[in-house]
Order: sequence, then structure tokens, then C-alpha cells
Amino acid sequence: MGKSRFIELMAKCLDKSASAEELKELECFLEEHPHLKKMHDVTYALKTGSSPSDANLQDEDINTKLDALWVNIKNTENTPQHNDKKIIPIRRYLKWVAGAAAILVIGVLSITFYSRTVNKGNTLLAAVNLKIDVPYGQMVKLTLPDGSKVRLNAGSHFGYPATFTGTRREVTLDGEGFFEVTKDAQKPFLVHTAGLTVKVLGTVFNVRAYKHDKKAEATLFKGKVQIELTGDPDRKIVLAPREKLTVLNDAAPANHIPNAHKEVAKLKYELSVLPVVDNDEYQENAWLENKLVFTNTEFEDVAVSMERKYKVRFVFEDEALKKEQLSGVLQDENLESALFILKQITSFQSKVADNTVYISRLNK
Amino acid sequence: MGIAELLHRIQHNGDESALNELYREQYLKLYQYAYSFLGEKEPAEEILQDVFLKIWIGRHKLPVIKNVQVYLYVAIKNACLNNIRSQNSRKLNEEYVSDAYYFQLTPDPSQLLISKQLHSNILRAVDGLPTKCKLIFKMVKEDGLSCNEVAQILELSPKTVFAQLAIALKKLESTIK
Repeated sequence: MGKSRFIELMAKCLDKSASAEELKELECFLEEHPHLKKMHDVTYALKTGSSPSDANLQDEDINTKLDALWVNIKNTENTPQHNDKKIIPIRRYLKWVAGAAAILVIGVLSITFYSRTVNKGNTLLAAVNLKIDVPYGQMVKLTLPDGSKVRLNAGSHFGYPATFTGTRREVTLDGEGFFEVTKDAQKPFLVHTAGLTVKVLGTVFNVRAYKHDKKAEATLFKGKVQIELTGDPDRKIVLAPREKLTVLNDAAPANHIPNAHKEVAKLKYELSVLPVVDNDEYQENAWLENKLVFTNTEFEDVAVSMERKYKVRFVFEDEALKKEQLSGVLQDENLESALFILKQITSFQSKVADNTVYISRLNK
Repeated sequence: MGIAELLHRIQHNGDESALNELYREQYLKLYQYAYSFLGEKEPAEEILQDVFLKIWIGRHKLPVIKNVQVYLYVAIKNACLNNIRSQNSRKLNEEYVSDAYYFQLTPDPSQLLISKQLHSNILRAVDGLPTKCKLIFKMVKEDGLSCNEVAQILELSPKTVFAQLAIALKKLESTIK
């Protein structure tokens, strides 16, 4: 009845390699010695708990991660493998031609058929544009064929070619993206959005240009960029680091633009310099860390950002509240506590139903 | 559905729902395992995404896998070591397993018929075990791996793993007595 025998039996039991006799023997031990029974129970009650990491993941978190995984997979599958090329000796090469031709015919036929059945961009031709639509409540990280890195915020639509051919690297964006562009002086990198085009050689910058927002913004963090306004192609604006360009968006629904703005439409854009802050935390790149930062931002603009982050819709039942100016930082809060925090700043009441947040004035 | 069967469906049928199921079932323990190497949330998550991505993309080329569970742990481990190596070659010493696991007792103390004092003593004892010992205890008890599987993953002999497990149990036993 040695203690070490008991330990051995316990270990075997955990290992699930204990035989029936051994289990019986263990049971005897447990019955005879209450403290061993206690130790046995404690062992089974032990669990690794919420360590500094977030060990207790919710199902939702896993689902979000799973969605992101599929976005990544589709993305990788859509990028042709450049490194699969093999050099085939000439003599053998001829043998392949006939086969290749046949495959090509089948390939073309099936592509035609495929693209007819599924209305998705096909992937075999380098010139083909790939498209990424980021759902609300998610972000996507992307590496472009030239090695440039892009992070796309929720609700963005991004288009880029499978390989960059020609003398320019051109991509399109409706939404918000943080770009780290690989340097290539021979091939400028162009980001086309509805309101503006950003042209760079190799830099780090953020573009926020959702088609339906009131304004589009480009902020430069490193290097140098040149911006062209769609409405005024001859005007070229060069940004230095920490400078931000804000352009009023003509494409936004008219009722969003107060008349005053229309009259000064000739002004069209505004250049501002970001204040120097510690550790590079700006309103413009805060979203990368899942933060929303507002400084004197109108409530309706805050709501638009929150709609994207929290996958909800905001309805204002009181027009005046839309213009309320808010400042603050939201980070890991869920929707409820985010609304609670906003209520500390300005008084309103909210009701959440069916993924819709109704904002109304506090009646008192 | 067994994990081997899930992988089979991924490999031969290109079954997307099988990957979903595999992911859901394995995420937490693999994440914790990766975290124990890296000690940081973001890279650990990225490594997990990457391993699953590679399984899907390379599903036609996967070798014959005898033990899928061990395969996944080893894949995570290799990816973590590569990550650490690329970050900082000096860091790659024996102490690569960080102190990431903290234990707690699930039912409340009264149910276990132990005092508050004993409760905290137990936790202190378990959490104070050497990291490798803790890791083995966790993998056998919680992740449902056998000593042999843990041995394969950690590249130790099965005897060592069993001995480490016994050390953890002895510690518990002596705390409770």
C-alpha cells in the first residue's frame, strides 16, 4: 500500500492506460484513504484558467477567427503560385505541348462555364483583378504580390491584380486601409478611391475613403506621397509625414452635406498636421489595434464607425443628437459598454433590437 | 467524429465543413500550446491561422499522418520555434516554454471539502511546478493526450513524461496531506 504505487496508478489513470485491475486497485486506495480521495478530486477539478492570455474564448470569437481563416484561404488560393515553375528540357518539352494544348482547351471551357455558374472573378490570368470584401465587424491583413502589406478595416472593398504588370502598381479601395508599401522606384504604387488617388513609391500611410462617408482622408506616417483629387486632376498635393488631407466627398448622399459646405465646395480639401504624440497613437491608425478614437467627432460619424466595428445599424430618432460632438477612445468594449461610455459623455438613451441601435433624446 | 476522419475528409473530399469542425475542436488547446511558447496573443493566433491555412492549401500533398493530434501539436511547435528563431536567435534556449499556464480549481472550495487556505496552497503548489512539468500535466490531463503522444510532441522519452506527471501528482498529494 505504498504511496508511490498510488501515484503511479493515478498517473496511469490520467494517461488512460490503466488496466481494469489497476483501476480497481486505485478505487481501493481511494476508499481507504480519505486524503487520497480528496487529492484525486482536486486533481480532476484543476483546470488551466484564464491566464494573462484570454484562455476562455467564446464561440463567437472562434467563429470570427474561422471566418478570417477562410478569407485568408480564399485569398491564398486566388494568388497563383509563382514558385511552381519548372524548367523542362526542350526535347521533353515537345511531348508536353499537345497535352498542354488539350488542357488549355479544357481549362478555357471550364473557366467559361465556371464563371458563368459562379459569378466570381477567376484566377488563372495574371491581369485579372482580385477583389476582397471585408464584412462588418472584421479586419483583414493582406500581402500584395509585390510584398506590400495592407490592413483593411471593416466594411472595405479592395481590388488588386494577381500580379503587378506594367509600369505602375495600381489598386482600388472603397473603405479604409493602412498601407506599408514596398519600395520600388520604377513602379509607383497608386491607390484609387472615389474621391482621391494616392501615389507613392514606398511609404506607410492610411487611407480612409468609404464611398458613402462625408469625407475622405489620407494620412501619411512615413515617406512621401502625392495625392490627386478626382474632381481636380491637375492639382497635385504632396504630403509630408504626419500630415493629413481631408477631402469632402461629392459622392456621398446629398442630405449628408449641409448647404454651407456646398458653397465652399471650391475649397474641397483641407490639409492638417497631426500633433506629436507618444508611441505613434493617432486617431488615424488606432483602428489597427481595434480602437476607435474620436476627437470632437460628430455623433453620426462616430455611429458610422461603430456600425462597421460592431456589425449593427444606428438609427437616430433625434436629429440634433447627430451633431453632438464626442471625444474618447473605445477599445475592447462590447456594444453595450461602448454605449454606456458614450452616455457618460453626452446624454441620450438607446435601445438595441435586431442588430439596430435606436438613439433618442433622454426624456426628462 | 474522430479527428483522423476529419482530416481524411479534408484531404480527400475537400470538405470545408470538416475543416471548420477540426478548427473549432482544436482551437483552444492548440492556441494555449502556441501561447506557451510565444507568451503573446497575436503571434500565437497568427501561427494557428497559418497552420490551418497550410493544412487546407496543401491538403493534396499531406503525408500519411499516423496520429493527427500529435501532427497538429508538432506543426504548431515547429511554427512557434521558427517564429522565435526569426525574432531572436539568442532567445532559443532550453527555456523556450514560457510560464503561460496558470491553474485554477473549477468547483468552489466547499464542494471539494477543502478550506480556503488549502485551496490557495494547492494552486500555489501546482503553479509553482517547473514549466515543463506543468506543461506535461496540462497536456495529459486537459488536452486528452497520452504520455506517449506527449513524448512524441516534446521529443522526450515516454518514461520521462510519465515521471514528470508523477512529480506533479506527488506535489499535489503532499500539499493535501
